[in-house]
Amino acid sequence: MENNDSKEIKKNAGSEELCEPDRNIADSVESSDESTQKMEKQESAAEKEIQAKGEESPPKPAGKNMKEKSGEEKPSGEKQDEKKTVDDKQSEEKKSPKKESAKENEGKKPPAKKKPKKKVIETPEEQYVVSSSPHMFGKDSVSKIMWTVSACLAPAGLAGIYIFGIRVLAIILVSILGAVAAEYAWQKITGKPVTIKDGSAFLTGLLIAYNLSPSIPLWLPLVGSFFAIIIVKQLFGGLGFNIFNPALAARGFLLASWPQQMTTWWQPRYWQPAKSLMAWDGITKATPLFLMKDLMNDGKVQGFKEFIARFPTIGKFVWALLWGNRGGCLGETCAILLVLGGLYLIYKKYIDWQVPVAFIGTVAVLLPIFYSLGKNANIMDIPMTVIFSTLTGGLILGAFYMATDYVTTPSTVRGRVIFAIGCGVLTSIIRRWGGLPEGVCYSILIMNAFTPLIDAKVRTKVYGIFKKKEKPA
Amino acid sequence: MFGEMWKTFKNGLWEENAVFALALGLCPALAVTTSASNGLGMGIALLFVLAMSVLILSLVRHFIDERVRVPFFLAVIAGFVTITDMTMKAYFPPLAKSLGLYVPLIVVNCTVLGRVEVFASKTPPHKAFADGLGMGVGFTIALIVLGGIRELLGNGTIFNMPLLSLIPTYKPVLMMILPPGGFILVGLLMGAISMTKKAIMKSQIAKAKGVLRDDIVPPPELDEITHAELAQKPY
Repeated sequence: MENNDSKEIKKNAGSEELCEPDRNIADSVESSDESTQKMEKQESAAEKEIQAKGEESPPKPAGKNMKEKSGEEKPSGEKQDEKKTVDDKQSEEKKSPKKESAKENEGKKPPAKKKPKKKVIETPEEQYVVSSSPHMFGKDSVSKIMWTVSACLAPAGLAGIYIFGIRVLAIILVSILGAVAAEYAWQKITGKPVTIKDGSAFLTGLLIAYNLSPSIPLWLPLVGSFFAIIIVKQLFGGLGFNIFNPALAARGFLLASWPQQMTTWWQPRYWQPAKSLMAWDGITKATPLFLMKDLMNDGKVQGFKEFIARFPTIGKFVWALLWGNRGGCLGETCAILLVLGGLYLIYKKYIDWQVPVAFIGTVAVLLPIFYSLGKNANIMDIPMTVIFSTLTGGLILGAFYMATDYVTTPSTVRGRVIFAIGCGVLTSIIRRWGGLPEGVCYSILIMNAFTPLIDAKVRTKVYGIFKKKEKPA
Repeated sequence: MFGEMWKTFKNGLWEENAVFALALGLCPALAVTTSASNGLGMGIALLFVLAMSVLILSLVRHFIDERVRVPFFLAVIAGFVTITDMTMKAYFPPLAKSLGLYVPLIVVNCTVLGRVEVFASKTPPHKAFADGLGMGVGFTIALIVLGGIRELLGNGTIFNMPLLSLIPTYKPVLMMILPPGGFILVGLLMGAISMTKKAIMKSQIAKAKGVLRDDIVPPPELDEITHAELAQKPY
């Protein structure tokens, strides 16, 4: 388009006046679109428009009346006919494939259908009104799901308080209060309906707190929850429109902004098994994954076997990992309670079992392979490696509560499984070769960005439509 | 003539700000603005290149063959970029060092190419020069604002003078100096500016109509106008 225009203009202009092209453009523009008058002469155009509006505005009601009248008149004749034909088609389609099922439906439907019929029957038009897609309603509402998820997360938080001390409670409270306050303030300022009671902001605040180290200063969760609610969630349009998981995005933001505070870990009160290691490596960087990475990067430990050999007894080590008696974020450590909460959510069908299984499974398969690559690996190490890689870090918290977020994951089960496997692969790669010891947060955020792509590629089959198979020649 | 020039000049500052309204030249705008002084240096470099090449190319616009115009544009722009680069290396070595590759990259900066292609090759030199100046100054202001905010939040200083870092408890937001901070800030500023523009347009209409501003139902055309404008403009 542009090239053609410019060519024409240049031809026109040629040897003549310089200003002509502008006029040509202006003429074409004016003729094509009223609104672009503004560009050419702003003030006069504005006045003109306003005048035009002023002229238009009085006749409007008349026009409306006309439309209404016509609207009243037309459907009586035409629309009914259309609807009847549509209805006939539908009824034919319904009857033809399976009469039995239709009968069954008839048997089931009446109790539900009778109520609307009383209202509807008055005019024949309303009888055929078709509503849009959610035809089946569950009892679960957004707020019920959010509060249930929060309740399922609560035991792990209590365990965190027990393991790390009362300070954890303060962090959780500050984080939740910050998130709810941010949501309330934003919705008040922008004049939207206030939805702090639906629990989504509460859950976001809770998850942010669970992703923080127990040693952080108390202003940090506050900043994190403001970032999560306002920039990640509300600026994108609020609940249901955010691209990234708000809690994880906030963790990413905090980790990028204040790395020192975010990676200063506290030792739990009962952390016994690796005391020899602690004394040897300093107390500040002490999540198991951090130790693993440090030791491997320094070349002090060649393979996983040597790492494990540094712990006094394997049984105690595994028990500590299961109970969350280890360094780490305050809500991610207690694997048993997190899994129990997740199982309840699966039982209630709030989350798919496929997602955590695929996520944790991928990590459990890939990470032992990655750890043993190029080292003198031993098959006997594999079970221990699997336990270590699944129980450390935020994997269980991420797999059960973050990778199953409704908003930021694909809408089909197949899509969600692809999402979970992608998360697992990225987590394993980051843990083994990345600069950071833990990769669950970033892997889920990266896959969040892929969600629209997965949704576009993975679609549910439309019932009754088949692809024609090409016959091999 | 001067009124026309002034109008064209003003256009680049606010209405068609290269970074915030046209979203042109975002690569240097995001990469370089880790500090206000970097933004200023980059902005002035681009201002010089843009104004000069627009002027020259507008003067010779009748002698350029349509089919080879882009190489021609690039040759002229590259000349001025070389001058800028060498001057900067000679007289402002630390600035040249911190801007690095982004000064030579002005050659393919879409603000420069876009202005030359769209405006200068079709308009007389005085107007084109005013446009180049306006666009350059608008770009510079945008870069200083971006760099200033990022430096202030991410480092606690502005033009290397301590401001927020004077507060002993202030912990700088490191992310603002990193790439994601730049992206987030550009997005926030763009949103704020387009909101302000709509509000201004609304109040102008209200003023012309003689009604209170709040009484005006935002006309649906307000969005359509911008879209139509964008559709009309070839970039």
